[in-house]
Amino acid sequence: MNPLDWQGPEFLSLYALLLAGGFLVALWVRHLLRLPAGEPLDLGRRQDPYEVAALDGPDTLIEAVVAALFHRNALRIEGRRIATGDTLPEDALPIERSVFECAAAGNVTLEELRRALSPDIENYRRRLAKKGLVLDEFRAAPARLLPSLAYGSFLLLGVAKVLVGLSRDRPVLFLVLIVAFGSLGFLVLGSRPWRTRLGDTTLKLLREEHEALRTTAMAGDSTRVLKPQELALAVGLYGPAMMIPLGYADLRQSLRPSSSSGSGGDSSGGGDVSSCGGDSGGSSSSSSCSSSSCSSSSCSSSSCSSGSSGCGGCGGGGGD
Amino acid sequence: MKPLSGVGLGWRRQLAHRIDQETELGFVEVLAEHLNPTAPLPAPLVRLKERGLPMVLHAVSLGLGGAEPPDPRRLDTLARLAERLGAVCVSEHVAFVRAGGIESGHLLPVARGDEALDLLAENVRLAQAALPVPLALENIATLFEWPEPAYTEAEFLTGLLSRTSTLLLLDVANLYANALNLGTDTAAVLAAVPPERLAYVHVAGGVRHGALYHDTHAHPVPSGPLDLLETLAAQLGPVPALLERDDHFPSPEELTAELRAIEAACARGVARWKSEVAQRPELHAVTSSAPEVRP
Repeated sequence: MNPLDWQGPEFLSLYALLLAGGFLVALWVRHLLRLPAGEPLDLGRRQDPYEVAALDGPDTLIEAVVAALFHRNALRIEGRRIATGDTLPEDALPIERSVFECAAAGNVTLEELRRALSPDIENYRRRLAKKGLVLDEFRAAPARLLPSLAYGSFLLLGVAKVLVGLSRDRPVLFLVLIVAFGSLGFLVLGSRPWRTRLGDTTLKLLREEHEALRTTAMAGDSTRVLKPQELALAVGLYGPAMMIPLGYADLRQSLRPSSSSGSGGDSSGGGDVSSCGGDSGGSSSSSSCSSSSCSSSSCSSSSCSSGSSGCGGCGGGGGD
Repeated sequence: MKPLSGVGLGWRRQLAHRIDQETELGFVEVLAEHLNPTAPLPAPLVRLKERGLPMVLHAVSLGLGGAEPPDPRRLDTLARLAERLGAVCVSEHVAFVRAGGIESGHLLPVARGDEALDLLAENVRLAQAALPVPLALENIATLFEWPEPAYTEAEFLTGLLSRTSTLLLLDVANLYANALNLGTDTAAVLAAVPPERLAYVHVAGGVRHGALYHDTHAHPVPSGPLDLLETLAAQLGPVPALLERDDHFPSPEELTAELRAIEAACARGVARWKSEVAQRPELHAVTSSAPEVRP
């Protein structure tokens, strides 16, 4: 029996299930096509923080560079925007120079930087693609097209049914809503996948290996403890939320003027992030400004106090 | 379990990354009050444990110098944390921190008399019975002392060690502070340290405010505590020493310089000790077992 001739409620219930199931299958196929897969790649003990940040996504790369330059005083906050501070060090990397020049020209939102830095981002993408960590054009195309075309055929079925309904003067509002909602899935599937499955496992391992860096970055009063490249690595691995405990919340706000100042969820994580998408609800990385449960104060006493403490000085000159 | 050796660093969240990257640290010390007894250990500490880096659990709230016996719940928490951490030993202070239900919020000095010594010795025994690893006690810094002490600091230390089997955590920064603020005889205290009872040494920075020296753990280590450390090493041979930093955390370069300064002070002391031993071999028999903590 031709499904286009089915009764409205009967078609709607089956079509909604088909669309939802089709989307999940398409996502799974897209995941499978993000090749190569395998055991995490060993990037060595001294990883390039920008390469690691680029593995998370282009936005994270940009934020890592900005954070490092800010930490080096090469950038500063002026009012609500980012401006250049001290001169750029001689040994600055090309992408750092690009960001510095953008800041000097006043182009410092994430959107503006994304446009201006596209050659630098492409450079990092190529480096990672050579290692099999992000998808090159050749591998990205099938991972993007096959699932979206298959899913698109389901959407077309719905569109056809809408047209049939209209031609027969039947109510189609619910079906239009389902198709419109389902189109969002098409946009997701049509976005360019970024990481390979090998990239996913490698990034996961890197995050596990650098928990101590995350702990330090989240501790507060760590500004002097971390070198600029270490801060860049923290932002690269765990997202821009790492800037907040270090007192760089304004910086993050200036980069994303329209976003809230909440702590998590804006890392451009996940292996499927679009290279030109905005915030894309990241995987799991940058969540929670968990903060230390209680800190210092070795000034005796049972209660844990927040903030770091001045453990010495107990009793004025008494320390432990 | 590895015995303590070399130069250690107090584990703080702000220093977690540095400690994780450091390959030359001899041991770390973790503040018990920073750990949630019911939550899993922080991931960086689990990594250090897996690496086999010796860890000491350092507590500040038992109040062993108080008139009341140590709270069994606190002891139980410490015991469980020590086990989960795989701690080599637990360290606490020769101090009281509460009385009559009132928390002082500070480490307060114990009156240096027989009555306090008896109470302290009993409390130490209770704590030792409850803990799965050896207990080490630390001398504190204070700006005041109780009137008419029956013993000097060195005599009190000797009395404590003779009445208990506790190990000693000698804080040379506290000793330095007391020497400046109260006129404590540092040489007598150092001479009172039995090599076989020394668990490890604390070193920390401080600052002078007017006539007083404050042991802040937030400023660079002055030469005074390092000189005391050198003297101690010259007397006992190699001693494990740990840098405490609790605030105004320095840059990696400054922190490295402080750790190297401690290492150098130990090395200078050990060189003097070796030279002394070479001249008087009978000394070696007395001091050779000094630096190890035996669980």
